[in-house]
Amino acid sequence: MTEPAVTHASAVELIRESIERIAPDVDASALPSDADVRVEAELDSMDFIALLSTITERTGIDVPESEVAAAHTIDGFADYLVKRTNGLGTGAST
Amino acid sequence: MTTLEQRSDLFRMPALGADMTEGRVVEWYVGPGARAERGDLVAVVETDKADIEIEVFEPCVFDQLLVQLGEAVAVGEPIARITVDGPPRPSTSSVGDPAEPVVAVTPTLTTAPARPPDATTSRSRMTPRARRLARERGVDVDDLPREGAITGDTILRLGVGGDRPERDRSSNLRDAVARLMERSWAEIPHYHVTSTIDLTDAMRRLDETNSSRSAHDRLVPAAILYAAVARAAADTPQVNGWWQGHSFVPSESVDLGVVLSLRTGGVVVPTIPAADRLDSEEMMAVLRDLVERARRGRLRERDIRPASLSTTNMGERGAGAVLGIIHPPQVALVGLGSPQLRPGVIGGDVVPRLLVEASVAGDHRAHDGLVAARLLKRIAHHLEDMP
Repeated sequence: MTEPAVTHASAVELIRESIERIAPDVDASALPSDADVRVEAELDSMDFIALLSTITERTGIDVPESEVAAAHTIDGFADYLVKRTNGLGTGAST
Repeated sequence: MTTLEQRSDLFRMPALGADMTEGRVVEWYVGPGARAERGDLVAVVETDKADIEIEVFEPCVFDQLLVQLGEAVAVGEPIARITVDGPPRPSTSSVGDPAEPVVAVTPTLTTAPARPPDATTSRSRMTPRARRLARERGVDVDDLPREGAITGDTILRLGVGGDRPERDRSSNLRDAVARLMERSWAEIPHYHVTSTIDLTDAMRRLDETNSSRSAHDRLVPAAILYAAVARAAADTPQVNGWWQGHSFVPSESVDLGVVLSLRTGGVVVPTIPAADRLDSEEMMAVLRDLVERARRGRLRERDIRPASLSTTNMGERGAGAVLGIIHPPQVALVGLGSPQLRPGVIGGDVVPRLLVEASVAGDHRAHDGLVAARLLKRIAHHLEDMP
């Protein structure tokens, strides 16, 4: 159930919305897109897993443990989602 | 001889916390005629710190609900009439109040404040926040609008009670923690023992486990750590129990209190019962559920039953070590610092290892440093064995 041709901008939007869903106290629009979300949004390990799960739910894309570093920043995560959706990412087999 | 006896009984407002004097039922999950099994959640009770879902402890049928929504009810007073299966219990306690080892010790941290006059007759029109604000500000029934729902903003707009800032739940929570910590520090002769635990292998196994799983099935380090702490406590009975009067009373089970920070500030410490029986998968499932419900403000009565030992964890981004303050009447608190990559020594060589500073805060009336050191060794031992 993947979205067709995801753009970087729409991925960023999706990620910010998802952060707000799991951490309603955070104003995701104020998060710098190149900052580590775990630090800026104070997401602990459970929050971060919840973020990954939320993204999986909404895009069908699961980020393998070996590739989670890509998801530490909003920009990085958006790039990753674009690559995976457009079939250019590694999508390491599980 | 198995005749099913039944008796009429009263379901009473439970004590949801040592300093609770009264609560308000804000939602019923059952109505007259409804049957509830042991452990079923039957209502939501509002306390000054949290809304807690309460449960029944024996199978029963609810015959009559005895209180109005939002009505203040003292702890121990009846809130419903029920018909219970089974013969009368030997103790005088009712269905909603099972025997507790620490009931006799529940400290009176505060006396119940004088209650402002009840603010309304038609509570169903008021939101929970409106009810609370109305109480805090002594709002008069006659000041309320006659029609429409009454929200917290409605109350604030009345301007009664002056510019007093809204005393929200998190302030009450912080106050409760402050009082508990103050009391603990004053009463308990604390000592602290620390040890460096090598987490490298356990985390490597965790990463391997997680590598083949989708995000929502993965384990966090805390799941492994807490399972290890609980098992170590089972091996070290002198740290697992309560100081009552002038002596230590051991707990029959390891009911682990875990300090959870709420995103909006403050902490809540729910209890994981029989934590030593959980492997890391089960612990993860319990934690995931607890964290989600704690943040949503939907803890249950069984979540806040007294713990026999607690643990506080800095997580991945906190400080190197935490030397904690015991939660009375417990006698120990395990502190876990952030795992950090540090030089370790293996076979005479200095190698990078993932190390965590673990601490035990101990009540020196109940035990001494040797016991704490033993507990820390057992934690390390169980970490090697996880899951």
